[in-house]
Amino acid sequence: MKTAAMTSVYRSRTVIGLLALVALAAGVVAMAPRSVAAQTAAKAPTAIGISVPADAQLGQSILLQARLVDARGTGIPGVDVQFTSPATFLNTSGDMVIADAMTDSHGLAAAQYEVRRTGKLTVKAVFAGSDRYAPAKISAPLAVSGDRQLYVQDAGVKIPGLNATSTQQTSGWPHWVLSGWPIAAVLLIVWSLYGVAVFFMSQIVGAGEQPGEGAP
Amino acid sequence: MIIDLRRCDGCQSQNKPPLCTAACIEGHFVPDPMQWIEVYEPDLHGGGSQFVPTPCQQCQNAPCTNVCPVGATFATPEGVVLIDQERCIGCRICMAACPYDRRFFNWGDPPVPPEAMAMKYMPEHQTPAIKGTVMKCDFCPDMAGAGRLPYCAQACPNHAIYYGDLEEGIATNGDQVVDVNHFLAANAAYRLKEELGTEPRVFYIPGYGQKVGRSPFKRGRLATIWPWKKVAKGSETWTR
Repeated sequence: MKTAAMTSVYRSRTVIGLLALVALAAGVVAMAPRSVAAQTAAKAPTAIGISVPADAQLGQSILLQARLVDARGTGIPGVDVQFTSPATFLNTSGDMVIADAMTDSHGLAAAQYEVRRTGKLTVKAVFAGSDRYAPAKISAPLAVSGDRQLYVQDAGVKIPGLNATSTQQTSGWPHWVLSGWPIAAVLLIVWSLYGVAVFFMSQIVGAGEQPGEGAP
Repeated sequence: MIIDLRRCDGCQSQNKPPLCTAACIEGHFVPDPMQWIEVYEPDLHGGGSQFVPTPCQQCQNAPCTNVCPVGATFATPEGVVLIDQERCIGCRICMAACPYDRRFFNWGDPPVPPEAMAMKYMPEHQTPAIKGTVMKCDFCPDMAGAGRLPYCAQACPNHAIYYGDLEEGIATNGDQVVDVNHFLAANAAYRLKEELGTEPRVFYIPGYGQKVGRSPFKRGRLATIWPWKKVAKGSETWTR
């Protein structure tokens, strides 16, 4: 009897549990489209424009501009806009972020970019979206030409007055140090001592050649 | 090279010794006890620790090239500092000059596995190793020439190591491509011992592995191993 009663209790609990699960699943299914729709409805549509020079020289610093506006054409301030460019390096490809900027009160984002690749590039302005605004992106071509070496090694020991200019680690040094005279003075002293030593050595050799020296 | 310390957990999550070091050792047959890219674990100021993989810093104004009396260590036009072991006389002045302690001396007969014996020596891969000479990380220029990332960058499971070209200002970790100037500026990158004026070409992005879920208070990493030594007969090791 006891076992039968317990079995009945277990069955009723199982049924209740199943009903609860079904209700929960139905609730999730019913709520999901509504929440997505609600989120989409909450985001205002946006449009983005881009301003990039049509062509540039290798190593040139160019101005990238993008303007983000809402459906009424009003600029959207205070959001981040990324400028990207598709690139491939060592068998890896992707959109490379080359600059980013915050939009001003007119919805204008502007950034400087030093062009370091040649060819027909594409520059994109991407707004990733926010809680209020929908994402937007646009692209523009950029033709880069030129054959300049941009990265130049700067190696060696810097000696003020000899190979270091005022722009290299020596700003603030007195002018007379940079003039090269201290280096010249040191070299003069060293070579003078060397000359004196050579002179005395030649005297020793000469003394050995005195007539009668070493005769019995 | 850019090393994103936010992604480096010393391979704690893999439960293995640092894989960058392991891949470098395996690929270059690096003699024991050398670690051309060594993962240090310094303390953080606020407590805890971080992991810092440290290869040769490939300085633009490299003290080692300035002091080498025979010109055995030199910088290529591409900007990589290499050692010609066939020219090196083993004076070790370069080791004394390196402020990063990233040069290693072959004190004994370096173990040479059979596959390394078959290779023709080149400064670009430093194999087979030569006794009485100095070795170090070479940035794998032969692999870059073949369009591949260095061993360390390939092996990093978290894509923490970027390898790039300063001329074009572009780098990759095998997963994404970044603009070097923007990436460094946006992430407050720094270089080791920058005040010395050596102009290292290895940049670090500060972090302690937080991007891959590491707690700074989970200390320690597994010890480095030299797996290929098993096949190199008659090899010997020494203390640095």
